[in-house]
This record gives sequence, structure tokens and C-alpha cells, in this order.
Amino acid sequence: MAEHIDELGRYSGPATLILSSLAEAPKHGYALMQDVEAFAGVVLRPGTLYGALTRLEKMGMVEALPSDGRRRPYRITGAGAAALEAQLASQRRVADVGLRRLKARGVLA
Amino acid sequence: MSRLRTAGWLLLELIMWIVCFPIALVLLIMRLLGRGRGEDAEARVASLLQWYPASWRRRHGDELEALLHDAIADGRDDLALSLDVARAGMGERLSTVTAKRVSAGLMAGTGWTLFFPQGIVASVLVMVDGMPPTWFVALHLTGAAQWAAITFNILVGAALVFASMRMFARDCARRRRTA
Repeated sequence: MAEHIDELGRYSGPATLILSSLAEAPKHGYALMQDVEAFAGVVLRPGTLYGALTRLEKMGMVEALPSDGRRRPYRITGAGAAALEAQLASQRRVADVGLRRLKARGVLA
Repeated sequence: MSRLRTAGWLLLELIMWIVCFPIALVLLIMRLLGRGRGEDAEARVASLLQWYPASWRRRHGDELEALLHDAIADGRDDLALSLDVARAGMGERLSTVTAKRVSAGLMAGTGWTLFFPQGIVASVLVMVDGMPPTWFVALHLTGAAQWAAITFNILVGAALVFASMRMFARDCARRRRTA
């Protein structure tokens, strides 16, 4: 099974957001959309959301729970949590370097 | 008088290709995106789900349908949503394309071109006096060679179309077995 979210290509951004949302609790599609919009300000539309979700499921990073009517909640797996941690650590390194360099140039306070 | 008639036909063709055809194309695309006039939410969701292949809809169709209904009920129903679903659905369809299907498609296209325009239509045009040959291969030949070319095109074209349909049907059966 793949270990890195980057292997999802153009779905890696939405995948990171989805895993971050599921790290809190299992959610179905619309709850995921709303949560991602609330914490990241990003609107994940249904096509993009399900494109990322089905790929995450194939990679074993999320798993589907029994349906609640037509809505099916997903939860993050251990592999998904590990991949998310690695991805966010990598993004934090980049953010730290960028902010430090901006500060050194006097652009940031 | 005949010049006037020719001019009239030309004008009609121009109107058709420059005005009517683009309008029809836009209306068709809007209908496929579930944004045709008079469509309710149910019809719109059904139109959008059709962008996905049947195999994908069997696994995730209900969930996506519920999500689309929630989004529409929440007032998120805009063109961007339709385009997003259409793009993702086409992506799922293209991911199912195999070399066999591409080959079958190419064979079907080539076969149909040989069978119908270069075969059947050419056989009718050969019998009409004064027809310019344009792109009809048989019309550039003379005598027995014309009918030999037409017969060849019809037989080979039909064989290619039949073979492509058989290849496609076998690929569909293989997918059903492995699904």
C-alpha cells in the first residue's frame, strides 16, 4: 500500500484536508465538506471530494463504515493517520523555513 | 434566379453553423450538466451522476447522490458544482479506458468510415452523373476498379466494425467477471 499522500497527485491537497477532518471523528461526505470549509476556508466540491475519498480508500488510508441511510461515513485508518502526520510535518517544515526567511528579509514583523 | 437560390442556401448554412449549431451545443452541454430549463433537483442529480461509469455508480452512486442533494438543498447548486462533478466523472470514465478499448474504438471508426461513406455512399454516387470525386476514393477510379474498391471497402469496413464490437463485448464481459 502507498504511504505518501503526494502519490495522489492533484488530489493530494484535498486528501490532506479530508484526512485532517477525519482525524477528529468519522464523517459522511457533506459533513466533510462543511468541516473542511470551516477550518480551511476551502470549498471541496462533490466531484473533487469523492475523487480524493475513493483514492484514499483504495490506498487504505480511510475506510467506509456502515451506511446511515444513503449517507456512508468514513473514518481514518492507522495508515491514514501516519500518512497525515508525515504530510503535515513536511508542510510545517516548509512553512517554518518560508516564514523564517520572510522575517529575515524584514517582510514579516 | 439560380444565383439567388444558391445565395439563399449559403445564407441558411451560415446561420445554421454559426448561430444554431453553437446554441444547440451550449443547450446540450447545459442539459448534460443537469442545468436544463425546468429540471428539478432530482433530475439534476440524476443527470450529474450519469457522468460517472456504471461500475463507479454501483459502488458510490448512493453516497454521491445524497451528497449532491445535501449540497443543492444548502444552496450550493451552481455551475461550478456541475462542472466539478462532470470533470471528476469523466476522470473516472477515462481511468477505465484500456488499450483494448482504444483499439476497438479505432477499429470501429476506421471500419465505419470504410463501410458507410467510402462504401455504401460511394456506391450510390458512382451511379450519379457529374458528381465531383472529392474525398470518395472510388470516384477517383474508373470502370471495374470503382466497384472493386467499393466492394473492398464494404467488406473490410464491416469486418472491422464487427471485430471491434466483439472486442468491446469481450472486454465488458471480462470486467463484469472481475468486478
